[in-house]
Amino acid sequence: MRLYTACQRRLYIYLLSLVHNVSDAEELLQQTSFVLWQKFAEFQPGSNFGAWACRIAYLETCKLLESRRERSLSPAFLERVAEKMSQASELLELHGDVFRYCLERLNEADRQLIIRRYAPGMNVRTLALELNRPARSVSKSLTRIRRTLLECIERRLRQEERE
Amino acid sequence: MNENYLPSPEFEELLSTMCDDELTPEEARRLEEIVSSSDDDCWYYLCYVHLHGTLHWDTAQHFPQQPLPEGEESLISEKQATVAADVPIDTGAVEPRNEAGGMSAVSSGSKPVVALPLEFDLPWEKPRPKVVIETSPPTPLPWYSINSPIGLPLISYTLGAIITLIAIGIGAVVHVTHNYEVAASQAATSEGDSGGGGGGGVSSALATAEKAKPKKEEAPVVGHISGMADCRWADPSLKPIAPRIRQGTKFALTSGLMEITYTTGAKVILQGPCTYEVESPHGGYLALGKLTARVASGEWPVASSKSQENHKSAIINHKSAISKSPNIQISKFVVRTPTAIITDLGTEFGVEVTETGESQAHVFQGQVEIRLADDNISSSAGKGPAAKGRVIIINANQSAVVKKDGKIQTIDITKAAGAGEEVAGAAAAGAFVRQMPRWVPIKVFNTGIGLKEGDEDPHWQIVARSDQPDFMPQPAVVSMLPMGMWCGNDPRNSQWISTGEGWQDLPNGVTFTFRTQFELLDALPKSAVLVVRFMADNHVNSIRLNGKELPVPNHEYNHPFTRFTKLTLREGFVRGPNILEIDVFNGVLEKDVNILSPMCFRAELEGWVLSWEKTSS
Repeated sequence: MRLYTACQRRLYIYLLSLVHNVSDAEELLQQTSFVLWQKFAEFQPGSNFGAWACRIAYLETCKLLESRRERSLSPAFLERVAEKMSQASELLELHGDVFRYCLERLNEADRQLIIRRYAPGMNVRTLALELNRPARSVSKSLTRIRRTLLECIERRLRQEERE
Repeated sequence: MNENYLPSPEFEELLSTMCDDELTPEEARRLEEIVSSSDDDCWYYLCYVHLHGTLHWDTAQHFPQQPLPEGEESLISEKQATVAADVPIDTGAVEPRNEAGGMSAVSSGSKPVVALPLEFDLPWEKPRPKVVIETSPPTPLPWYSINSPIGLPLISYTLGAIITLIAIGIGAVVHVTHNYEVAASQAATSEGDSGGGGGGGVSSALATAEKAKPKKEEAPVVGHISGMADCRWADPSLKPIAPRIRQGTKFALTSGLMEITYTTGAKVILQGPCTYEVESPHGGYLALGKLTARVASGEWPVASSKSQENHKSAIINHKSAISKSPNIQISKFVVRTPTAIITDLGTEFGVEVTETGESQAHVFQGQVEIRLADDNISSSAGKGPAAKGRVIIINANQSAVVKKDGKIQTIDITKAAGAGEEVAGAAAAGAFVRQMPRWVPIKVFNTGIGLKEGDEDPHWQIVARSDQPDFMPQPAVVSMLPMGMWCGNDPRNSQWISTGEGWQDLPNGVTFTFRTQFELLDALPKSAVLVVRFMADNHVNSIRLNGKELPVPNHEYNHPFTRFTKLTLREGFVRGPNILEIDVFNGVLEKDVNILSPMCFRAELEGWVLSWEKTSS
């Protein structure tokens, strides 16, 4: 249970990178948790629980997408992304570490906008309605803020590397 | 990733669409192509999605509740953009919304508040309605029509000739005056230069005179709208169309809240219904309604003078005055009302002008000086000598009412409350909104949270069951059920609740109504969002918020009951107590009603609402 709790966030982000879609990622996270629970006896203590969990998550993703008539993602793409994610997991963890640092350094309006976008149950269209702004304009602002955050994360990581 | 890597606009657009959950299959394919095309693109994709996921996970679930680490300040104001290492990220955007900013996170205590934005209502962000020119079938134009090819030149020439004749006539009448001599000499000079007729000479003279007039300058920007919540406008022509506020801008709200941040740093919250004019960077005129002013330092270095008129002109020219005058004086934030001039000597105060014209000032922090307005003094001639020039200073927790006749009544709210007196001023002081709404969690309770199995849940009741019309409401009880078929209880988050402890054999086909209640005080109910994640043995048939039926998402009737079903509520909230009721049906459809089986329910609730504090912090 402790192992699972520790890697829940990683699993969710991993799944989101595979399926693009939040509701699918949430559904898959629940499904993966269920399978992990069932198969926990197969896990070898001392080995990498995160990698094992991600592999199961990947298989569950393939299953889900296969069960759908319309496939939006090709298996080759899924495999490539899954592989790259596994290779870069440690580096991406560092991204997560400096994320909050960068979020706090956004200007107030941007920080509030992005936090509100990711509030539970919120999406861009609803946010646009609530802000009385065109969805396109909100989406553009969010793109700009994400780009800014990514640049900040990169810059911060380079700075830490130099130090 | 290459340091100089830049994603293509198309790639970024696709990533953005992906984050909006609106990727079409074609776009997904294109995204795949780009991601597969190079390692840099693939890495950027991973970073982007990782950020997207982190934002979802950390921000939505954890971040808002975490205070910032000790010693770190929240980047609330733009002023902190000067620290090199910890520079707040200026995205360099030119969109007006950045200037407008979010709602200010006015921290009420020493701990910084990570605030979510208020509900904006920024009209300049609205898509402007297109001007539709209705066209009708072409009709033949008369020859003299302004739209006809002959008519327009003909009318123009006729009008020109008339104007010229009138101008010459006026010139002839006033030719004896000195001014005329000057104008005539200018006209003659001009005529000589241009070689044109007399009319042209007069026109030139008029043009010269026109040039000599001082040009009308645009009023300076003295602040911006930094927040709006549920604003309704009394006069649509005064509805703001841009965040910038120029000197002389007037606002007339019928309801809602609007925050103005002055260039000097002072913040004013207008509370509708309210009419306010921004007179200078250091104050304004409140004709009606309430405002709360918060002044960071209380003072700014500008040239000032004693009279209000001089004060205003000094403010307008304060920059040049500072540079020229060796003796820099201090100007304070001033709110004028029909009966009073309220000058800030401290940090925070409220002002109200009633429909009868009375002014009330209340100090939350610091001091204010209250002076009778000149107009009032002159109008109350009978009381003139006593009232004229009367100035009082009130301190924190004190109020003063300036009557129309110039009388000033002061009230010490703390003392009056201590003496057990009921003071009208106290209620009025409590009605000032001192900070713009911010997102706060709604106090809701997961089933069985923090309780032991067998405990009665103080926040959840069973209020009805369909087979017992006389059923009396009773607290739901935390119930333990075998693992496997039911998700295990987790006292830190949520637990199963039922009619009693442990396995409860209850009749099939019966519906049990679970109820919880939560309050929305000092909040905008229509901004509320509540996420309900539930599991039920066997099925949730109905969900009601304040008696209103809500659509129930599809979920299983059968075990295992290990997965939550999520429902997001966005409407139906009311100010004050809100009641959420959930009907749990026991038994699988079309089964023998005589069979007994367990019935239980489990829910995790999370909600947010825009709220403000009215009372002093």
